Amino acid sequence: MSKPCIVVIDDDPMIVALVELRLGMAGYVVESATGGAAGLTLVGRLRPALVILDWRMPDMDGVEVLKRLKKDRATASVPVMMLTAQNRPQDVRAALDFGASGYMVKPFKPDDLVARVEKMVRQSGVVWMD
Amino acid sequence: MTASALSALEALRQRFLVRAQGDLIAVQRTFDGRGEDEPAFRARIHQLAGAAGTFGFGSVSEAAIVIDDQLIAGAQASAEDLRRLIDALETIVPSSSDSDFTELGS
Repeated sequence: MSKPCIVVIDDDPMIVALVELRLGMAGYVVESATGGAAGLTLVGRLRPALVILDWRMPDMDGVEVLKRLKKDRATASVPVMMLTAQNRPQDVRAALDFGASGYMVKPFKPDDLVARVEKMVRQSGVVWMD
Repeated sequence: MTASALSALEALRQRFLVRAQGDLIAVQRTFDGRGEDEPAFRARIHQLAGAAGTFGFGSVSEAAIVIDDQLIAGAQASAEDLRRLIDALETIVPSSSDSDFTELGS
């Protein structure tokens, strides 16, 4: 049976690879997109347990992706955690105002990311199916 | 953590170091006044700020974050801060003049 699916949207392929690897080691199914538009499509198709979303991306920034996810009834309930180097308090406030459920600043410790993801998935009510 | 997982993480770290060599060259060029265009440089610095510390190179992230904050505020990166970032990068990768490194795409 499948475990929760996490979608990571980040234009930095090194970050994507690291998140895929680390969350994969923790037992998650991880799908990824390296752009905002592709990420929107992926989330719409997979309805994951959690989206991990970068802010600064060239084609569509993360806040725009967040707004669109929350505006679409099909994806509005999917929790989103921002994972970004944007570290100003006003950035955090803005993301939370637009519907983000969590915010983690880069650089980050991969173990901390796993812990945060586990907590958010638990809170979202997704049942692990081992 | 299994041996294969550790091996995979180390491989990723090595890939980051290869990319950091390209970052070092780009920052040196900017320091010398012959750098890439501003959007490309901003994107590079922003990625470096986020990724370097994540891969265990905190001093590089710290130096890049200072420049990233300046660029976000619409200012130019100062020579002093560029120098600091170059110094930090040089502690983790060989100097561009010391290698025949061919820059890889990110």
